[in-house]
Amino acid sequence: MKPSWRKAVVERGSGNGFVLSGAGFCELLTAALEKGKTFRFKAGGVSMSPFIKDGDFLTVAPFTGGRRPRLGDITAVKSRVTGNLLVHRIVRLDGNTCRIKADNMPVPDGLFPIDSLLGFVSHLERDQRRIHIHPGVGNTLVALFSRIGLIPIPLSIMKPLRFVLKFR
Amino acid sequence: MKVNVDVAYRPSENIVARKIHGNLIIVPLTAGVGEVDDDLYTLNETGEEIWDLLDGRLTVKEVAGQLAGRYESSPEEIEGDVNELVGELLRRGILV
Repeated sequence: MKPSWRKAVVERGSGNGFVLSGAGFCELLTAALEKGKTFRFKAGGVSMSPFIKDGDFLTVAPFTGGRRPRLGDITAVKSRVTGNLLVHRIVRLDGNTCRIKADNMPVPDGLFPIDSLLGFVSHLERDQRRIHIHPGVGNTLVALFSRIGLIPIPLSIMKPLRFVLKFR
Repeated sequence: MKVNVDVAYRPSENIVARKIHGNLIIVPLTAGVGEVDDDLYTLNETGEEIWDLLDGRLTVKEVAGQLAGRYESSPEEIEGDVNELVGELLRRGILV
């Protein structure tokens, strides 16, 4: 016996109760970046605090047009362990591999082939302000501090640095 | 949006669609930006069945015809429903 037809419905947002996260989210982001598009989403967690705060909106852009990964970039990469998306900092570049680490975590995520990096955070939005993340001295310094364990930076140092790093 | 039942529509290049945890998720890449926070679309089971057939090879009429063979309901009801969904997806730029 054939089943009865149920009306087809398209819903906007995650109104049907599922939560988009983990490997599935990573898959969507990868698909967008592979098309050369950018991808905007809300950050969750404190692993990159204070540079990325819980609830910031991040825009991830693909490495295209000659833009290569640089020391200090906040990059998007798929975790080899969980398959989830990591948005952490490049703290060492070494030939065709790089070391990724969350600013607020003591242990690096490990070594990743450069080719496995999905994209980089080009800017973020916080409190209706758009903050561009330019590669430069600020990001390089953060990467070096993070690599030798000086991150998270004590607040007393962080306040003067915020003008260089363009974060508040 | 007006649907031409003799046209074979297909997913736009400006979306990404994936089946995740059993749900079809469609994210429009508006002006190059996919906004996952609230600008994503999901289809119910019947909608997914229609979506799977909208690959640019079958016309809307043919899609409805295939589905009519699988269900007990009247072909008119199914065709009307397919047209409605296709119109909605065209209006949102998800199909072209």
